Amino acid sequence: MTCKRARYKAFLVLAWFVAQLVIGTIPRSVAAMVTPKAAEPLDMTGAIQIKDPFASCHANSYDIMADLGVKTNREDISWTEIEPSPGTWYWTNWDNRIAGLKAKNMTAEPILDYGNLNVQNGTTHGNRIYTEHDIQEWLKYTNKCVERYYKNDSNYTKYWELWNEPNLGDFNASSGFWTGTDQEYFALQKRTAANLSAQFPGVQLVSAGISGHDPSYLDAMFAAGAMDNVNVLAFHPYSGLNYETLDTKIAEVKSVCAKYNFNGPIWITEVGMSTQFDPNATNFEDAYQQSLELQATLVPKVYCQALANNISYIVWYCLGDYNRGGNWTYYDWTWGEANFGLVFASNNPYKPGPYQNDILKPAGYAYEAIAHQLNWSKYIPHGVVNSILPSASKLRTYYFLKANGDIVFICWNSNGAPEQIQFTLPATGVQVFAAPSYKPGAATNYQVTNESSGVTVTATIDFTPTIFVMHMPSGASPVSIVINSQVTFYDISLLVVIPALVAACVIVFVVKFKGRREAKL
Amino acid sequence: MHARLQSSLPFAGFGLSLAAFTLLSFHAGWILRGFETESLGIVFSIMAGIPVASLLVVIAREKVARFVLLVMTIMFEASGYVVSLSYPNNVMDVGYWDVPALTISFAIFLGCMLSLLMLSAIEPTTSIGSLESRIKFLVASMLFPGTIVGFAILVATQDWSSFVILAMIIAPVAVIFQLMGDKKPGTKKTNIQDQGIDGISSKDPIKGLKLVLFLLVALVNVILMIGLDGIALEPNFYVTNNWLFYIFMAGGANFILLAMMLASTTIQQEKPTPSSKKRSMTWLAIVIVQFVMWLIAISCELLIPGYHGSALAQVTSGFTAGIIIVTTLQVVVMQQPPRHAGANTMLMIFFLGLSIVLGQYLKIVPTSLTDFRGLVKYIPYVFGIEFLLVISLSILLIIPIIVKRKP
Repeated sequence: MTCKRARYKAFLVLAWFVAQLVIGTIPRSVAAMVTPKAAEPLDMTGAIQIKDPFASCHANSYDIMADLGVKTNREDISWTEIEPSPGTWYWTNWDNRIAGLKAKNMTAEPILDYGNLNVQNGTTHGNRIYTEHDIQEWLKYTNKCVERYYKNDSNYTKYWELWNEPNLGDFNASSGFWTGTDQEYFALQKRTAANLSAQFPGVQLVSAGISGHDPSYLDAMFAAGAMDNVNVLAFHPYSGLNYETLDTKIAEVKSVCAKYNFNGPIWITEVGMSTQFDPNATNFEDAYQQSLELQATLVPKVYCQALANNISYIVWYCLGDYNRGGNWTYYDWTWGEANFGLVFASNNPYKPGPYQNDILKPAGYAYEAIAHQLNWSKYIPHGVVNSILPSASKLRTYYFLKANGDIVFICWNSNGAPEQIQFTLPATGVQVFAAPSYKPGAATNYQVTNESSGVTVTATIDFTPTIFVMHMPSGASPVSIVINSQVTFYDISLLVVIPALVAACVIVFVVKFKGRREAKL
Repeated sequence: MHARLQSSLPFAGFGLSLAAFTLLSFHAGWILRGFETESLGIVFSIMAGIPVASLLVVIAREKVARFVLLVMTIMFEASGYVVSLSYPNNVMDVGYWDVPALTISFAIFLGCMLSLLMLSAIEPTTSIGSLESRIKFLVASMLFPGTIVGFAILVATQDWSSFVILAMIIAPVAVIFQLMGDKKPGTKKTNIQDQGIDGISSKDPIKGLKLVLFLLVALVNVILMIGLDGIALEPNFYVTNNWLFYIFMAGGANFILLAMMLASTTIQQEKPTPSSKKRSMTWLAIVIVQFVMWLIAISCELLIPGYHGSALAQVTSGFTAGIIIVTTLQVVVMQQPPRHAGANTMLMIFFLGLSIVLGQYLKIVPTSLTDFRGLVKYIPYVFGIEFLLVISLSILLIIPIIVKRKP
């Protein structure tokens, strides 16, 4: 009898186990049958207004900038250019730049930067300003610049960045963006900010955009008082080929700001990815094409994450690739710095097949889509409603509500796996921009079914962001996007089977423990 | 519960634990590939630290072993939820993993599973019964990991999350088996003495050294068998065709079991506990068999064009790995007197588990077949080290066989 009971128990355990094995190994896609759900009213809590965050570095092609939706040109107004010799001031290039930008209703964000060995006498090499003479000369230069393009130009150029990446450069080196000590730089920024804010009330001063997000450097900068009188904090969160953790970097920067009670705006004044290639390498075309297409996917990823974190100004580095030709030709194709652009170099003979006739790189098309769709929209943190089931898509989703009521929905799968999603909205039409090219009308990863209640969109979402623009009927109330989902075996395993098994472990343990105690007694 | 059924449950528990650990570590290399050095250090520290802590607790107070088992199960499942809910999809973007919370959860996940594996090895290797029956059960339990992992690869293909879910289901089942197979106090000691098991505890002063050398050989073997088998292959091949390796790992274990059953008439004629000389001879035979099989498998992988990545390579390597793992465990069981085997066995299992993870990590070090061919220049060094270890161990094992001990 005991033997039979034991066998019966063991059989039950084994049967249960085998059943779980079967459940666990059934691919979730088999069970993922979706049923359309109706849209829900939009929760506007925490909405963020987006106002002209689109900017680019080294942007001198004003027509292309306007086409792309770039609103600001971040550019060095370098001391050596402005004051080529002591007391001599050269403004021609910058006067032309400002005029060109004004003509297209764009602005500049000048960077006051770098040493000027023609004027300084405190150092003979590198970028270091620390003697009283050099600091006074520097302040004179900064005053001249701000006076010309802010005070004397009806406050047109309002934001001024104080140096660029001072955390790059070794002490006393001949090269590097700052070759003095950190404390020397902090002292210079502090005095510059104090001087400019006193001389030009209303001017907005942006801290030096630091390389990376370097919380320890930022901490030291705040601690040294270098952020006194500075209105905006800037950093450059370059992240190689993968920007999935940009959120975390922003959070770390915000944490430093919170520590020092800094409540001003936080800006990203450089971000991007280079697409350099070696034209002498075997099969370089494939690698170059992949690189171009990867760069394009980073544009929506960077802007979505940054805007959702209330970063109000994001500068893409930079507008165009360049190749100087002559002896520089090969060097420039392989040099990272020359290939960060959104636009192909005009003399590039190596454009991959699908992009042979393009002026814009795929990243340029992605930028154009993002800038035109998102400017003056609102980011709605709770705009996308997803299931709380474990099997629900873990997509990164961003909902933007345009001023005309249209919805921009951007999503991708950080995990890389293609995942099918479906949602229904009372929209009148859908426009989609997707990888690899982000060209208008080129997306193929979606289907739209027109229904009496609107449209049902079914799309395959992978590591590359897809941008959906849903045209809503005029006057319609804003609605959220509800992603359909259904209970799967994966959910059953995580919610029922595994907790039950763990509970069984505890029960068996308690029973055994009790049995032992009784046996001892 | 029926005594025979009850005594076999811990073996099933051990086999299932090894299956769960193999499932979890299968993608470990791929996941760890994009980690920064600092993060890798954290992962390996936590992964090794948790089992070592469990080991120390169990050594200090053996009675709490079952409680530690339960705690490890709960920690394993809790960290598993963090990992699986943060990362439910199947293709791993390694950059996304290098986030402190997820990295630590993954390390705890692996560490707790390794602890469960170590703790589940105590009962089978120290249980009552003859040495022969314990080895038979142990070998039979080895059918679980190969079969389950092989079929998981075959059915779940690239689905990493299915592997995690399976491991999260299998692990508590293994613990339930383990707890159900636990005996009432008092029975173990009596039975051990009945078996005359004290004979195993020979006064061999260099047994520790021999076991360390054997462990080193086994570690190198396991790392290279698992690692070289899948090295520099396309990820698609790695996750879809690798099932042959695991199925034939079970095949290797099965082969040993059949060999033992065929030889059982001879064994039955022996005393329940073989003599020291007999055990040394078996050990020596195992070392030589392991070395020869390893040599053939590795030489084929590295030297025969077109062999690496083929189905034949998967079959041969899996079969060899199965035999190496079970024979390694067999030596541990043979050489450790049950009363003192807990800590030693756990330590052996710890290094075995670590070598499985390192083997999985080795898979993803070179990214192309060209890089793989570049490894050929290191063959003489690897073979040299292996040969030196095997020769040293063989000499140490031959001594008690040829030297007649004075009464």
